[in-house]
Amino acid sequence: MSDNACPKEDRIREALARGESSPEISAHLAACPRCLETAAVVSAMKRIGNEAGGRFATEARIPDAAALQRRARALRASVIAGTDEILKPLRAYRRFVLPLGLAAGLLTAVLNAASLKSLLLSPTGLSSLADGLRSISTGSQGRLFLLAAVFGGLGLMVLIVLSAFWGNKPEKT
Amino acid sequence: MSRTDDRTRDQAFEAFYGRTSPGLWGYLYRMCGNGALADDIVQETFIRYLHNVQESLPERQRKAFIYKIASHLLVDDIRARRTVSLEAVEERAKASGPAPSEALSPDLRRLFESLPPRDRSLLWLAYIEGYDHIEIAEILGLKAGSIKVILFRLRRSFAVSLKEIGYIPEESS
Repeated sequence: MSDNACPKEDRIREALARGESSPEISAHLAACPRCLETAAVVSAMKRIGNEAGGRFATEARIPDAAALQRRARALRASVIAGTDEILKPLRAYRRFVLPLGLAAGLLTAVLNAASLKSLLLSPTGLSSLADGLRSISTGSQGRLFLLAAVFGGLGLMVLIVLSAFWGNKPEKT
Repeated sequence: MSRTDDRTRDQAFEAFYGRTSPGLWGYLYRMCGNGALADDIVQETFIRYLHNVQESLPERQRKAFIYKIASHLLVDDIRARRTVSLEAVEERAKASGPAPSEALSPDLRRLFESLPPRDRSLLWLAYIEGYDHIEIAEILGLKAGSIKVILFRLRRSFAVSLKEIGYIPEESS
């Protein structure tokens, strides 16, 4: 390839394709058969391009810019509406179930304040915490406590996923 | 976003669309030989552009982005329909007849349409649009390093063919 290549060929090609001309380019074309050949290819391609341009004027049936913008806006609105629909259950979950779960947890803690206090303050409290939790889970209030913990935990995970999703979503123009 | 900003953006898009759509339509028409398909792809391309555009980019890069979207849509369409054979292109070209202005010599048109779609795209982007190797690689999804070699060989073979049809005088090389 290097045998016949001209180091200026790419620059000449790009300049001629963009319709630029200068005495420097003319002088180079007069002296460089490779670039003269490039100029001939540019000329042939420009004719092909101009012919296609002539067809555009008579054959193209494309909408005007305003119509395309309306379609793009409508598409964007439908995408947003679709996303909104998908996220509706998650939003309801975040709005109602998570606060209810937290409230239930708080209520359980208040109702079991005495047991929790004795558990935490006893000398063997921390070591017997597992035993305490096991005993709590067997009672009806204990089940409520576990339910609250599960809902609270799930709600927290959903919030983390949602914030990660929306945080990484690129801004659309 | 204020109404003034929206109006400014709309006007900027209108101007960009006016400058870009004829060349893009011509490119697509010459790639697929089908005006209706070129119409469809131009519309879809600009809607996707409006959906994803970064307006802060220079016009040259936004235009390259347009060509990239259009090239991908065209390839997808060719894969889906498998109708863009050379014979089909020639049939459509005969049916549509010469453009009212800038009529192209049949030899030159036949020569260009006899090239594989990728080579037509390369010639168009390099010799009509004046893109450099990196931009062409980005638009067509090819390796930048291979573009220079492919384009060099393509230019040489195309120039030889141009000489054969008498577009370039033999003594010019």
